[in-house]
Amino acid sequence: MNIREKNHSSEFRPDLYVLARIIKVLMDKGEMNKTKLSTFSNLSYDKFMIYLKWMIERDLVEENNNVIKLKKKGIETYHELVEWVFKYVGKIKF
Amino acid sequence: MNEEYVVNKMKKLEDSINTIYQYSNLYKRLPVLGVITLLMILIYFSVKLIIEIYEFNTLNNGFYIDGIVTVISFLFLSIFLIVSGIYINRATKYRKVKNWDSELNEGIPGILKIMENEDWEEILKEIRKAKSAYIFRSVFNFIIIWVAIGIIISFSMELLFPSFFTINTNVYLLVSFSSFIITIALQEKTLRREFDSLWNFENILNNIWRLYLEYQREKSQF
Repeated sequence: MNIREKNHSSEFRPDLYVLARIIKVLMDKGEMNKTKLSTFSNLSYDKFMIYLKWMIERDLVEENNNVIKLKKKGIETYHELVEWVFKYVGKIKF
Repeated sequence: MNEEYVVNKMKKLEDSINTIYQYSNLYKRLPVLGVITLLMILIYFSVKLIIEIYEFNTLNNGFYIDGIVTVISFLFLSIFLIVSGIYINRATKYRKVKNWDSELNEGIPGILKIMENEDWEEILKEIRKAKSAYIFRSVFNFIIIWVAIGIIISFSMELLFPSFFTINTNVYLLVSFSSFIITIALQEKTLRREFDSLWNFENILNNIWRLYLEYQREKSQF
């Protein structure tokens, strides 16, 4: 866990690939419980909980009875990241 | 544009960065090459001095000694170029320093992981080093071919016209110039390709710099 992640969640700056990975798992496999989602996202449970808290605060996902569901803003965030990759990686010239 | 397209772009970038590391590795070894050069010069002049002292002491025939010095000079130059050439080729051997296979299997999240985890500033430094080493290697290769052609012409002329080199001191200049022109003619395609590759280094540098800045900007929005 890096220093950034130890801070309070409001100061926490996520790694974009971890964020994308969590959202992609939810997009591909649908809603699921926290333990399963942390396993599919390939994250330790502690690290996953930091990300989850941050994502709930920003309305990207919601939690109901230990089940995590992706919200519209979460899908939009993933698409924004995909667009970024298409825009900048796609433009690389050799 | 789809995921496969950007994954392929990243594979090409990985390959380009590995090529860059080939040459930045040579850059790190240039001081060793400098030491080899100095050693060769030192040995050459020591041998030449010993021969001249021998000639002075024995009042030997200068013409005969001059011939030995010429042969030794060619020999040293050839050994130096061969040793340096082998050293440079070994230093620039392709190694897969960067391996993004597992990340790229993940698709878009994997690309973001590469963007996050790679030390792009370090890669930019390596590109700058690689550019210098690439120019050095290209010039060195050109000189090897130039000298080799010069030696071939010299020996051919000496065989065809004995005492060719005693005609005039300008003969050396003529041989150097003609072998230079022949080298350019023979290496024209290689020179063009190397110039394009050098331009490609610059291109990759600009691409990575832009990608790095844009990623930092995107990250700051979260």
